[in-house]
Formats: sequence, C-alpha cells, structure tokens
Amino acid sequence: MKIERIELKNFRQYFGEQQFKFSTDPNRNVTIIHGVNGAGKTSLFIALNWCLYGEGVDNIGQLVSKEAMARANPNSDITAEVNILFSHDGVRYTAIRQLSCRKQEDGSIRELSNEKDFKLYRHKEAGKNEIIDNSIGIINTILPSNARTYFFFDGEKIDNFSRPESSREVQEAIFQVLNLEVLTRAKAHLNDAAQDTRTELKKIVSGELRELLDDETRFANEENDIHEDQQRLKDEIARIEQHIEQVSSELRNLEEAQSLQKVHDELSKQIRQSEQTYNHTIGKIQSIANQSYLWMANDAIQKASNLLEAKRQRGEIPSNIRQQFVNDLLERQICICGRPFSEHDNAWSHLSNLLGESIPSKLEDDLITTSGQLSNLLERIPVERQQLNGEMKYMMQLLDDIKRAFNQRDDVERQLSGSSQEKIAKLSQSRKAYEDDLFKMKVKYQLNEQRLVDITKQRKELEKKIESAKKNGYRQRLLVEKKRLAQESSDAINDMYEQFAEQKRLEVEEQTRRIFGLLAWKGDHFSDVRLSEDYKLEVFDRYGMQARPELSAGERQVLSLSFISAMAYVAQNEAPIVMDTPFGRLSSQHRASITANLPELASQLILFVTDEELRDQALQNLVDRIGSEYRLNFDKDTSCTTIEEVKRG
Amino acid sequence: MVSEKMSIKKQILALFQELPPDLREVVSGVLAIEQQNSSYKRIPTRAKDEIQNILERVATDNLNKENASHED
Repeated sequence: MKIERIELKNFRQYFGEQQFKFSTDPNRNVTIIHGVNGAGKTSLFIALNWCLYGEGVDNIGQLVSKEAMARANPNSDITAEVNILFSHDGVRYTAIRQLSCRKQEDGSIRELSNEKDFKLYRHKEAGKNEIIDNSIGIINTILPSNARTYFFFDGEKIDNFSRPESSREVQEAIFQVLNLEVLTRAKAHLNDAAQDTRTELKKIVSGELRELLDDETRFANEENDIHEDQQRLKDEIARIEQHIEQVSSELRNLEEAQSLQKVHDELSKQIRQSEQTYNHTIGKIQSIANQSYLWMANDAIQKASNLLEAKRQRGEIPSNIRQQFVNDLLERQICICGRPFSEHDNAWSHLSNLLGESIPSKLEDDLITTSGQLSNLLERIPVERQQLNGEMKYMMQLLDDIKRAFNQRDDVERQLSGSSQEKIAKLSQSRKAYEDDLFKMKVKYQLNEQRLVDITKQRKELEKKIESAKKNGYRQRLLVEKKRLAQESSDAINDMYEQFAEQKRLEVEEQTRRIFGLLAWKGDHFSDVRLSEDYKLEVFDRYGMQARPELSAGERQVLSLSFISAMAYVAQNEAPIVMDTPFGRLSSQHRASITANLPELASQLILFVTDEELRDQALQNLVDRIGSEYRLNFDKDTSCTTIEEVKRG
Repeated sequence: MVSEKMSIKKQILALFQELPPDLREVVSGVLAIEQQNSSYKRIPTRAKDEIQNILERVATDNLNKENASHED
C-alpha cells in the first residue's frame, strides 16, 4: 500500500476542503508534516485510521468541523469526509468515509445515520472507477485492520514491545503482521466445516459408515480438547516462568543471596542450553531413524548390487554409449583397431550381433543409474549407523549434563531455602514450588503432544476406511468428499504451521538485531538482540547480561521501532510507516541514527513532527529523502488549521 | 530492498504448492476468506457459508471427474 493523497472536508479543525499529497517516489519516500502541538497532526492521524478502518475515534461527534457547524443554517446538513487515494499491487483505490449531521433549531447537532458511510472504488482505465462491494474485506486484504496499528502509530507509545512482560504483545504482533493468525483461523474453521459435514452426513447414513463417523467425531472432539488444553498450558507455563524470573530478580537484589543466585543463574542457563541442544539432537535422531528402513534392506540391496555388477563385468550391461558406438563402426566399416571390414564379413557379423544383444538405451541408462544408486545406498548405511550411534551417545551425555546441573541447582536452592534470612528463605521456597508446578505442566504438555500424534494417525486410518466404505447415492459420496477436503486441508495447514511460524520468528529476530544495530546510537554496547521461543524480546550487553531492564525510555522506543521495522521487512507487505511524534522522547543521537536509516527500512515513510523534534543533524539526514512536505498553520481566531506546502531550495 | 522478496501472502501460498490441486484450491480459497474477515473476532456466518461453498464446489468437481473417468 502506498498512500498518494488525503482530502479532508470539514474534518475536525480542517474547515472546508483541504488536501495533502504524499510522496510515492522510492528515492524520496519521506513525507514530513510539521506542526506545533494542537495544530492538527493527530487529527490527520485520526483521519487516516477513521477513513480506512472506521476506528481511532472515541466520540464520533467530534469529527465534524465546529466552524462548519457554526456557519450552517438550522435544519441544514453538514458532512465531514475523508477521502484517501492509495495504490496497492499496481491497482489504485479511493476510500471515502463520510459522517453527516443536521443542525437543529436550537443549534445542537444530530447525527444522521448512514449505513453506506464507507465506499471503496477501484480505479480503472480511462478514469472510470468501479465501486467494490466487499470494501472492508478488500481493505483487510491490503492491510489488515488488526495489523495496521503496527504501521500507523504514535511514536511515544510504542515501547510496549520492550517491556519485560510484553511477550504476549510481541507474539500477537507477529501473528497479525505475518498472517499467522489467518492460518490458525483457517485451520480451525476448516475443522469446524469438517465437523458440520460429518453431522450432516450422520443424518443420512447407517451401519458401518455411521459407526466410523461416530469414532471420527470422538477423535476430532478429543483433538480439539487437547488443543485447548495445550493453549491453556502454554499460557500457564509463561505465567509461571514470569513469576520465577520475578523471584530470581528479587534474590539478585538481596546482597546476602547474590552469590548463590549468580550460581543459580549460571546453572539455569546451562540447563536451558543443554535442553535446547537435547531437543535439537532428538530431532536429528528422528530424522536418521526415519531412514532406518534402509538398514533392514541391506542384504537385498547388496544382492541386487552384486547381480548388476556381475552382469556389467560379463558385458551384459554395456555402457550407454555402446549402441551408438557400434552403429558408428558399422556405418564407417572401420574397426576400432583401424582395420576396414565390409558387409557380411566376420567383423561385420560380430558387431551386428553385439548390436542385437544390446538392450534399449533407456533401459540401459536406468540400469546404470540404478547400479549407482544401490552403491550409494550401501555406502550410506554404515555412515548413518555411525551418525546415529554418535548422536545417541551425545544425547545420553546431554541427559547426564542436565541431570547434574539440576542436582547442583537443587543444592543451591536448598542453601537459599535454609537461609537464616527469612525473606531469602521464603523467596527460594516459593520459587521451588513454582518450578515443581512448571515441571508438571511441561510433562503434561509433552504427553498431550504425543497423544495428538497418536490421534492424528488413528483419525487418518479412519478417514481411509470411511472413504472405502459403501455409500448409498450421490449425496453421501459428496458429503464424504467434502469432509475429506476440509479435514485434509486443515491437516495440511497444521503440518506446515509450526515450522513456518518458527522460521518467521527467527527471521524477525535476525532483522530486529540488524535494525537495532543500525538505530541504537551505542550499538557497540549491545552485543545481541534475541526473540526467544516464547516471544520475549531480549537485549544483551557486551558482558552477555540481559540489558532490557536498564534500557532508557528512548532505547526502549528504538527497540520497539526495530521490531516493527523487522516485521514489516519479513512480511514484505509494502505498508507505509506512519508515525505521529516519532522523536519526541529521543535524544539527538537517536534522532540522528533513526533519520539516517529509517527511510531505507520502509517503502513509504510519513512523519508528523514538531519543529523541536526534527532539527539539526536529524533534519539534515532526511533532507535528500523528502519528497513532500507540509506545515500546519493553526489560526487562533477561528480554531481552524490550514495546510501550507513547504518547498525546499 | 522490499520488492526483491515475496509478500507474506505469497510466501504462505507457496507453502501449499506441493499439495494436490483440489486441496490447494480449498486452502487458497479459505485463506482469502479468512484474510478478508480478519477484523472480526468471530467468523461471520456469511464467511462460514463461503467456506462450505468452496468445499461443495471442489467436491462436486472431484466426483464429476471420477464419474467421467469411470465412463471412459
């Protein structure tokens, strides 16, 4: 989406008709709107959100220009309107939202409801516009309503993502901007569709098919229950982990507990790392084990390979050049040794016989390829066996490491729990209780995961039986086919979801790290930015310590901005970044580093600024990227704003 | 920088390229419906009907193809 123009008509302090043109030039992709506080920057920001999404306004009555109301005659209508011209994927659109009011005899205003207050037009050739029926749906396809808050935002209120308890907000943002929510909803609604079809089908079938459908319903219900339980467990695990971190943080601040807490932290870090490596190793073992059927076939492969080799040595499987080669010799009538021969002599007959014996070239090629593949398989078997042994040994070693670290940490916890200082003892005991709960929940989560694998397998077997069961008539066949399509589509989404979500999390992490390195003025002080598996955005300093609690307000804003830009980069949805008061809380160093880099990170950048927040180096950095610039002039006598275009040099 | 990569919508559709054509049609149709209705907390009945219509259409096509192949 690129915004080209906004027209305002009697909208808040914009009396009459006024317009802004935004730069769409990729080399000068920045539009600046200057204005002192109260001049109308936020009204413009509201106009954008209200027009496209009908949101961002608490009191709808405040939308209509007071000057327009004052000038209107009693019983006449006044309309506030915002009209936005934008382009997306090569198509231009105009969005129009209106609100009409009628001035009463007593001077008060009555809102006139109008169901069709929002219209979206698609521009066609020769200046013709076509109205779009599903206007809200199309806007959501271009820039979803729930994702827009990450693109149109108040710069002073975006540090949500960098607060310690913000993992839910971070996860929600990733889900919405990267369309993961669309995938989870599609999966759930396809499951619902399968269930609805199953219910419909059960009404018209009996006997074996009916029983199979009942079994399938039971599995589907259990699957749903477990998914809900897993979500509950995930939330509960995150909550308990947060409590544990709070208690640990308190212990770190108590002088008498500091040294033991430091050992506790170190051991917790070791456990976390070993568990991650353990899970990774399990994945590798599973992947090798999936190929282990080859080992069972070792003897058969060896036999087949020997057979082909024997044939090759006997010349029964000639090389794939043989046929062409023999043909060439026969045509030229010169032997390989250089001796000429003629038709029907001994050499000619011998070569002709060879040609007759040779097998068709396609089969010849296949045999050579097969022979090569069999040798390759035979070579792989001992290598994979060795790999598996190595990974198994490593896994056992990791288990020992984890167990040892747990025991050592329990010792530390016992010392803390037995402390003569009551506060330390109480904190440690409460942490131990949380950790016990956490362990139980993680075990339950794993058991549920295993049960889900089993259910999916059983459900798929049932699905096959249902497909092959006898069906009476077209409607039964159609419903079975509908149910299959719904279930298999839902399973297909489920199969790719986890991997895709994880891949996107890692991409956002990588980009946040890169962008934070560009935007934070003391980038060298921070060694890393990580987005953990449970969506905690963490910054580490050069000593490898978590630095987020010590980030300044400006640094938190920069971290959030880096995260938002990273999501926009990974999503590649070409949405503009629109920031109201982007630099208000930032130091001059941060303003300079952001203005030097931000135009490169967005396809279109629209900034609503005061003169104080955009000056000196920050302004100089942007000058060459500014394609459009306006100043808002507020008239104290009329309380109205007029727009003045700024022309530079 | 931005135009070199695929939009997230295209990245998601690409994940399903290996599916059989009928499932691909269902998945891409349902994803489009979900995208259009993403601003609603609960899926509207109209959108639920649209999902059923896609399933009905693809299932009918499949049965017609099956019938045609039996007749051949």
